[in-house]
Amino acid sequence: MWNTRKHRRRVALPAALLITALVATGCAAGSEPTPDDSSTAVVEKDLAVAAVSAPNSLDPAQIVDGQQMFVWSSILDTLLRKDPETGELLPGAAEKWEYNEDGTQLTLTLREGMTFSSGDPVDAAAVAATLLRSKATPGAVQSRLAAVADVVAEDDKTVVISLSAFDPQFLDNLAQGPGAIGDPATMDEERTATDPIGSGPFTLDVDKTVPGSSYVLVKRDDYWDADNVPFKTLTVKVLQDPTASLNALQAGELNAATVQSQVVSQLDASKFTITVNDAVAVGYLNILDRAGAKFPALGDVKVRQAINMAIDREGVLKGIFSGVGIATTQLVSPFGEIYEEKLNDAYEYDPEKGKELVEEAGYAGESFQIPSTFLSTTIEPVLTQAFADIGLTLEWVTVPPQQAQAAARSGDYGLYYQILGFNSDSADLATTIGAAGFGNPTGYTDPTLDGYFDEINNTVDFADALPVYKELNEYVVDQALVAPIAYIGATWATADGITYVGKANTLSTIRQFDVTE
Amino acid sequence: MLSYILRRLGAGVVLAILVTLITFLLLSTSFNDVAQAILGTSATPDVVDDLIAAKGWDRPVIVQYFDWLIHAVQGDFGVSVYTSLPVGPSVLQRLAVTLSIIVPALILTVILSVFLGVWAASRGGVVDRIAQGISLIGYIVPGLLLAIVLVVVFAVQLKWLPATGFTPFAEDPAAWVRSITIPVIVLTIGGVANMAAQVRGRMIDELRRDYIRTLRTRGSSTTSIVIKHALRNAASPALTVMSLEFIQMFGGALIIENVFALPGYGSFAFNASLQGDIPVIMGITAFGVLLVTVVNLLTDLANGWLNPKARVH
Amino acid sequence: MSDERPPQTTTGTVTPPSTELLVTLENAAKTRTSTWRRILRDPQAVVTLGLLAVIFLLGLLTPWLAPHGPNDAELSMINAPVGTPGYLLGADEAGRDILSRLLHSINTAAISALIGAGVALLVGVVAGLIGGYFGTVTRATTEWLFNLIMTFPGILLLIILMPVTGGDYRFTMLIFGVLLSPGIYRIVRNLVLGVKNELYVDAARVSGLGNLRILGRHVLFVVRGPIIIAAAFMAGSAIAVQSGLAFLGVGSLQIPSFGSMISSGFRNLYIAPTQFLWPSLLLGVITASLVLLGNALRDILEGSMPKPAKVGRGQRVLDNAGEATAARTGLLEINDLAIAYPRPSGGLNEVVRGVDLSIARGQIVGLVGESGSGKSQTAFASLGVLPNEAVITRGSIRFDGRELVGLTDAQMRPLRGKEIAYIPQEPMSNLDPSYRVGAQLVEGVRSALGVTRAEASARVLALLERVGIADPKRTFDSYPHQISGGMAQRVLIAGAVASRPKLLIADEPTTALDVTVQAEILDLLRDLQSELDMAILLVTHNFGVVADLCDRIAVMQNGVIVESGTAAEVFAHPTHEYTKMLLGAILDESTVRTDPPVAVSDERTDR
Repeated sequence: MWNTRKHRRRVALPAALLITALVATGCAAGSEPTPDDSSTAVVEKDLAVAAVSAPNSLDPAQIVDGQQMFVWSSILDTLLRKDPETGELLPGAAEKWEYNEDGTQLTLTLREGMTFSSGDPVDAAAVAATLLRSKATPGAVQSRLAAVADVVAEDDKTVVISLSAFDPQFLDNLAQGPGAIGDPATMDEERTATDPIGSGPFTLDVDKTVPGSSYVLVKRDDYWDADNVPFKTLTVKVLQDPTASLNALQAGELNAATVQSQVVSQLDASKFTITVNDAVAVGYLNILDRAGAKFPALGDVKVRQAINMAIDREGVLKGIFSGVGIATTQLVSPFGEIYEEKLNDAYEYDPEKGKELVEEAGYAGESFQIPSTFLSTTIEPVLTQAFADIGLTLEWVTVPPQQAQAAARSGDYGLYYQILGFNSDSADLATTIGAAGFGNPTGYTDPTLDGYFDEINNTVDFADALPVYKELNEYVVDQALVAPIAYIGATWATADGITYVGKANTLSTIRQFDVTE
Repeated sequence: MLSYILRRLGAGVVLAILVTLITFLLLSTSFNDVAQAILGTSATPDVVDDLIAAKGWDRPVIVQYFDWLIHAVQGDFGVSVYTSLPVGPSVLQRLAVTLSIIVPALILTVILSVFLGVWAASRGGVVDRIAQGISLIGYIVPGLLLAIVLVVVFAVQLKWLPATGFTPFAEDPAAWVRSITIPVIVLTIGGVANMAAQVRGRMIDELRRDYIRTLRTRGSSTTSIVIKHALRNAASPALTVMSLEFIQMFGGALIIENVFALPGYGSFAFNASLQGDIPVIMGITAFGVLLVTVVNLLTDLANGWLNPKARVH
Repeated sequence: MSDERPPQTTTGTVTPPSTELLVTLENAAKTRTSTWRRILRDPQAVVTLGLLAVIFLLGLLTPWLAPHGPNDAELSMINAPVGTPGYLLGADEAGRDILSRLLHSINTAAISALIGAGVALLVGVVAGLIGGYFGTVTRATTEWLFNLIMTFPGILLLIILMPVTGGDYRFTMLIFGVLLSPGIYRIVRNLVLGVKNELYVDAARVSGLGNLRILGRHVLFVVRGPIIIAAAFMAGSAIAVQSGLAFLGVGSLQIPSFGSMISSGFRNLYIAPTQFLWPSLLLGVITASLVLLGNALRDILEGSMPKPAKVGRGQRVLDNAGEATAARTGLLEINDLAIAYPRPSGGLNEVVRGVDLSIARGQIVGLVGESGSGKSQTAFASLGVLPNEAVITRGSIRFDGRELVGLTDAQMRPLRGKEIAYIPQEPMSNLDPSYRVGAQLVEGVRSALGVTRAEASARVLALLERVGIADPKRTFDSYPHQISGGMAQRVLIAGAVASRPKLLIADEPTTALDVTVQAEILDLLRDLQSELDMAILLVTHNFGVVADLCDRIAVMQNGVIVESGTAAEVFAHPTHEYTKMLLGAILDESTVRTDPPVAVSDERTDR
């Protein structure tokens, strides 16, 4: 992710909080709804959670998948969902889904008895209207529906989406922003941006909500899955400062928030439950100019491998990320299926060897400029040192946040430090390695990569495509196309009998929380 | 008098136009970045160009400005490019939040500064040293440090005040008071440090003037001399300080809004600036200039009321 | 560099300077104090200057003092506590040495201050000189331009302009300097306007000096005081703003500054609290020092170091004072009175050195002497309104048999305005500019006589008519600045005699007035005296006035009475050399003022 709506320079921390989702295929081209937690009669709680950024807009065509999702996903229901612990695709508003043979047609079957908060029924026409509107409206969702050619409501419960080509990320997208269902009767009204009518588990309490600061949501008892939402209210407070959110947590104004791991000891253990998720994002040095068009050194695999060897991953993990995470050489989530633990040994910390490689390649003394952003502040000195250790110079150039994206895309820089939240197995690679991915602004590709992506894009079933993904992953590590450093984790502190259950899937939804009396 | 006020307001409008024009010219270089940000990272350049055309950002800059201006004078400041919320009401709402902190802080500052300044100037000696000491502490101790201490003690430990957030007055007056307490205290301390010294200085000067002595020779009481005469005359220059203080507090409020997560004017401007939300920035700037104009005008009017020589006829 | 300047006139009204000012100047002259010395004498200035010098010196010595570079990071040292070897104040979240970063931040702050204040001064001074000196059109343009700048919402604008500045703090400070300049512009413009009208500038012009030279030599000289003071405040401002912006994350993250240190310290507040402490305190000390320095400089350069003192405390008296050495029976008996002022270097300096004076009921006594002879002081002592620094070292003042020396203010108050009245020298500056004339007089009458407001108003109106004011009601309702000097003096006279005092002390009542008006006022005084049978102590340097009015004359020189007797005697046969000299030197009156020039607007602009 480079840029969601708001840059929070203080989040040098796990930027799982700044996820931009891309689309990916899911594991199960689902048929059977996985059994939910069987709900006993738990007392319904009030959840108050901290979010780092406020929703820019609640209009289905504009929604973004960062922590803003806490708000919109509570109001708008999505077609599919993801299991918090395993990440597998689960039925949401759609009970069943099925591709045709070549993946150019996706048929969704909606479940019965769903209603919008206005009382109108949720039907295929609503889904079709929302998707078509989002596709036609310039906004954050539009580009993620790029493959959609047409959406038709065959009957009340059946939606048929025609795709111009198979999009491996499409299904995963339906569990995120693009999958939100808006109310056709009111979608075009002004109120949609701030107080939309949705079919989600909550409605917005407009009186108590202070836009941009705190959002108060009240549970809908006529939500189709109301039994599995053990919260009668949800409050989302926008707090950018980790200190401010810790204060709020300790003062009892919040009962769920991420905390810096070093302050855990300050929290009263009898009041707070601490849950550590070892990997919510990956921090890596993105090599933008892999072809070496402008920076020939970066086109040489030896140099790239040297860079990989120059970084003391464990040191960084311990020092900068306080040990919460896992050192890695890969881009994919360790909770996913593509991940291969052995590959983490591919590049031992060996600056000497790296220096040799650079000299061999004949690029000793080369100098590179790299944009300095609020994400990179804490790691800059380390990377500068690492480069120096292998005989290269790294020079950080301050770029104002508004221009960070443009800077990365401009082609002026060969490197960019990135923290990318996990999305889904195929998306995670496609984003950075795929020719059209935004993490690959030069559109670099080679015949091998072409081959891999070709197969992936033509294999409808993820399980069938998995071996190819794994080869692709290995190839990326081998060729050192990028220099991943560590998976960054997150520490959640929860109180009042609430626990955080997200692991493989960290999309900010109410389902990340469960109640244990 | 009315024509004077209208003239001043008119001048303010002219200034607002100039300032917004300059601002718009400066911002016009970043249309591309803004479009990209709206569409998200996976948008292709074509789509970006389409959006730019759709929003009319490819027109000549002057044309776009005048379009904005024509709408603005009718009260329509456009909508945010990100949230599609109307700019005018949003700015006013945020302004109300910030003012609900600044105005009480300013009032408290004035009251405390006058008290301290007059007390110090008319007593001298130990009292003066104490007042100067208080002033000094106000300078040295950073507002932020104080804010943190207050939050830890009153919000986290005692739970009397909220650690973050803002409750609108309309919703719950008591909660509103609690939510602004620490920010107001922080702003006031900084303000008093500055203003008390100014008041003291003015009062000292004033008390040495000839007419004070003459009043004494007529047998006026000390209270009358200090409060009725000296303070009244010292108030005039102090007013100028107050209006400057008001504008300065906006800067201080910006930092406090950040720390306390208050949805105020400053953080609104800051975020809009970071995101390149051009209509919002324009609205903020226009309102800012008008606000300063009004404040200056009010100061001058008050000055005229206090100081007959400065009255406008 | 002496601060004394040649005497000059302003517009035409001439008044001798007050004694206090003379005393200060005298002291200053005696000790030949230069501005620098005075600065060095003031503890506040010395301490703050010293502190700032030490701090900024440390900054300059950073290349030698700092153990690490500002951005050198050691992973193993992340959040190292205070006292870690090699990291004296600990290390921050990236493993950078806090002490080194602190030292480098000092330099950032210094540069910010230099650029910000420097640009503000440059732009403000140049524009102020131009706007003040040249004609109205130029001034209107500059006025308008600076109003424009002043309405820019400062910090917000700097944030908005971040894409333009690229986050370079030096560029940002430059813009900030421009934003600060209106303050300087105002100060300079006002002073220039004031000086422009000074006669010596006209003289310079007449003698052919070009505008530039005039500007440079004379005008710049005058403005340097306020500018130095403003510079101190602006430096503090610039540092504070740069820190604020850095705290918010605006600008390059590579530059070490207090703001960025405070910000990262704040993030880690609960992890390592001291990280937040060091930069906050240092920033606070620097800002506070600059402000205090500015205040101290202002006191030194602009005023005679006014110190606050308890209003209504009563005159300071030495123990042995209050004893009459000879018994006399006049209405006012002054016996061996001595008044002293403290020297800046310590000790007391007597300005009145043993004065004997006697006034009988209904008698008009003239107290004659040059400026600085101590005559006004004697008059003030009789009223109990000497300035707070003054000390009565010995002697006694008896009024109607009652000893006045040593009385508290509360005890004096019933006498003032009721039995002893006072007419000041300069009518305009002795009326409160914020209240209507009538209201001021009514207040005096009420506190003296305790009557109702209605009755007091009636009395005042009658009095105004009695003193020869043509339209009493109109004057009653006017503000001081709306009436002429002559009328003002009549008003003050009316106020003084309202309660039919036994003794009227008139301190140079006609000196500030035009010649024709002088005669009228004197006539008025004579009439009132005979009507009310009041005694008058007429303090003056003008023998003409004395001859006109007085029964007895006392001549004062250097704090002692050198000759006294009836008017006829003294005029016909002066015995003392000094008296003879004075009588021989009678010329048309035109004494020059020696007080500092007045800026055009009455308000003090100091920022």
